[in-house]
Amino acid sequence: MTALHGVDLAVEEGEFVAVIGPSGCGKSTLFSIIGGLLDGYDGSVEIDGRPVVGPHRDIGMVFQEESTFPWRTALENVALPLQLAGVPKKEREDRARELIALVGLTGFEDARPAQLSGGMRQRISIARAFAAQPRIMLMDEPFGALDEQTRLLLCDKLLEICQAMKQTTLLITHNITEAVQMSDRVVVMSYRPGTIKSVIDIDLPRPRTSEALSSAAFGGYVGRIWHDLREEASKGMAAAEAGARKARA
Amino acid sequence: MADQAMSAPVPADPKALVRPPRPRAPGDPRVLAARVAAVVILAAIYETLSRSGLFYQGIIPSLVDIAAELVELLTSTEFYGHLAVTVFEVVCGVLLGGLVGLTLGINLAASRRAGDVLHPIFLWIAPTPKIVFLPIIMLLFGLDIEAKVAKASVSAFFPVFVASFAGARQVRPVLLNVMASLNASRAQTVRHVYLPAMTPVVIGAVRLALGVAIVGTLLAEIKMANAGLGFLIIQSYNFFRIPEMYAVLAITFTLALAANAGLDRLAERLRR
Amino acid sequence: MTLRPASRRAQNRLATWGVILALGVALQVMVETGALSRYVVSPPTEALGSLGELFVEDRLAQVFLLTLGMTFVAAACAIAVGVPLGLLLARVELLRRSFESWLGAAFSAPLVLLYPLFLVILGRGLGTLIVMGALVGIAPIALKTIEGARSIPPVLENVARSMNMTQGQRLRLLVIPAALPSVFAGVRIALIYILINIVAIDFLVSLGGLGSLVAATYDRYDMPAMYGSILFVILTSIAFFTLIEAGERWLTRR
Repeated sequence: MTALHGVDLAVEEGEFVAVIGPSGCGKSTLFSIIGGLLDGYDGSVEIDGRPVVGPHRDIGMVFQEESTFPWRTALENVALPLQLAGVPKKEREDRARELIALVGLTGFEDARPAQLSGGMRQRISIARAFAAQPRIMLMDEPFGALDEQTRLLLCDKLLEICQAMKQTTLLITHNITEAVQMSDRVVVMSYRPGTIKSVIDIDLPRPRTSEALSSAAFGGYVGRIWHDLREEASKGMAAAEAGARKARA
Repeated sequence: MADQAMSAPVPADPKALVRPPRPRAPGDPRVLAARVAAVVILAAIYETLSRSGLFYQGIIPSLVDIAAELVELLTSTEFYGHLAVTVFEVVCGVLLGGLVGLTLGINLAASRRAGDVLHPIFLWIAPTPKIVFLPIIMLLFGLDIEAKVAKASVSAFFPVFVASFAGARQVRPVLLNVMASLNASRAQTVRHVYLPAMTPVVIGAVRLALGVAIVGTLLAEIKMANAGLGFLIIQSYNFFRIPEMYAVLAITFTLALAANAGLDRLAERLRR
Repeated sequence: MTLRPASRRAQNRLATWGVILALGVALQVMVETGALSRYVVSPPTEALGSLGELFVEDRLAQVFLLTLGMTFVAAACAIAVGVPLGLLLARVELLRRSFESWLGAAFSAPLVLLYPLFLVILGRGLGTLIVMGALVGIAPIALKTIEGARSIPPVLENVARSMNMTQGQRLRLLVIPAALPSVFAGVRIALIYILINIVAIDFLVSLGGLGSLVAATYDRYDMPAMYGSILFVILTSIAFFTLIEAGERWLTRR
């Protein structure tokens, strides 16, 4: 079974690119390949024209699932990349405190993940990814498990951080609003085998707060993306139904 | 404004998240009474059997005689020499076998291919009576303390390996992916993910390893019959000093149960 | 190209046997070339070859059946004591709270060391083996029985009460069926411990089973036969536990 086929994507420095597609289109596979966690594919991942194999220092990853270490406090979680790099304790804790402030969790440094909500834990994971100061940030549906309101607020926050740091970001998502709100470009993927169906430049002014969600231009982009996505999403649904029917037979 | 909105859903004061210590449940006096009653009844039955004359003279010695032997043992330096030997062998065995089992278990679990191919071999040998390896150990190490440490290590290795492998395989893949994405080395991943995630599993395995190491060591001492508590047991058996045999057995059991309870207490403390 | 799970498992299983074979060949070479003394390690070919001699000269089949037979008899005794004990403790709350932890302690205690005691009381016979085996098996069976008997969903208890079941009926129709899976698990654990303990005691006291065989071949310094008998014990235990697991699966499927 081929997950991806003919995916040719280039991301410029400082760009925020969203990759959107129906469930099962291979977006998570793409995420793992770029992040260097999967091999056995045809093709290459290149940074500045140089091919990259395996996890790279320049790439930071934020995973979809819950990924905080339950036995570490919030501060220790965020400080992890620095600790692995050998940064001395005082320095890494100071830096971690800065990052925790950046994601709005000041005061919760000594809390354990079990004591925090899902949204807060995901913020910790994001702060941790930023701690490594990666040139490129890869995110796989970081807000997928959160409720809509928390998601919107966190998107604002994330955007704020990425804009301030001019962070090159590749965001995998299934949420059209999120994609339009955050990115410079949206890449629409087709159903399995996943390939790039269309690329849409989002020409909306920055900064893009949740207020921008109500503008007509915003709605227009959402409409365009849904138009391209709808066909693929239906294919996905049809395939799922066919599979369930076969299982019952 | 966004910051305020985000901290609202969860208590604003992080100190409120700290849980107060749980009070321990008070002991039930009826349970205590039942246990005391059980001990008294069993002691009474035993003593009756002992004095009844039903059994060949001396094979069920009176509790008084056993107590006397206990006092004699606990006041003899020779006894403590043997005790030290056994304790040394058990501790070395658990440390050696446990460390090897832990290291091998985690490393095999971490690599998909090697683990899948090699771990069944250990799994097959794990439930085998390890006593059958004693002759091989005696051939390789002789009849001294090294042999007994080897036997204890072999016994301790298997429960720790089996539990470590299973525990390591159950670590959530996303946590391993986080370490991979940060380019962590195997050693760093073991230290920062595997060990903390597996702590309860490992402690349970060490308790089991201690139990089997004690048995393995003592049986080896019985076979080789030159030093240790096992030697004392078989010597008192051979010379038909039955009350002494009962006394040594009583001490051995008490120590084994105490060690187990101690590890239990430690596990409780580490769990918090 | 990724292999389907079933064929990958088969491939792995083959590789495992390959490793074992390779180890055997390596040992053989080391002994043949003198890197390892053949008075310490027998060449695998000779060890395997000795099995024939063991069957004929040392009555391997009878020895094997004796050990297995003793294990099952001891297990039956352990069940006869352990299950009622477990049911009693599950029924009477005070007894459970007082003595369940004692059973736990008994399970982790080195009970096998009591064998000299029973040698003295019961003599050097199979009785000692059976009693020791049963002793070791009671605790896990009783503990698992308690666990199973207490796992009855409260709603079923209410159904039993609403139907005015007698104690006997409740025991027979509700408690025992509910506890059965746990009891089987306990019996499986007990069988493992019983076999290990019987072989161990037999090794030290020479009562005619597999343990004695290993000790005897060591004592007469017959290295190939010793390694052969050790190998046979390993194979026996593997076969034993595979069969127990299969039996348990079959029984719980009904």
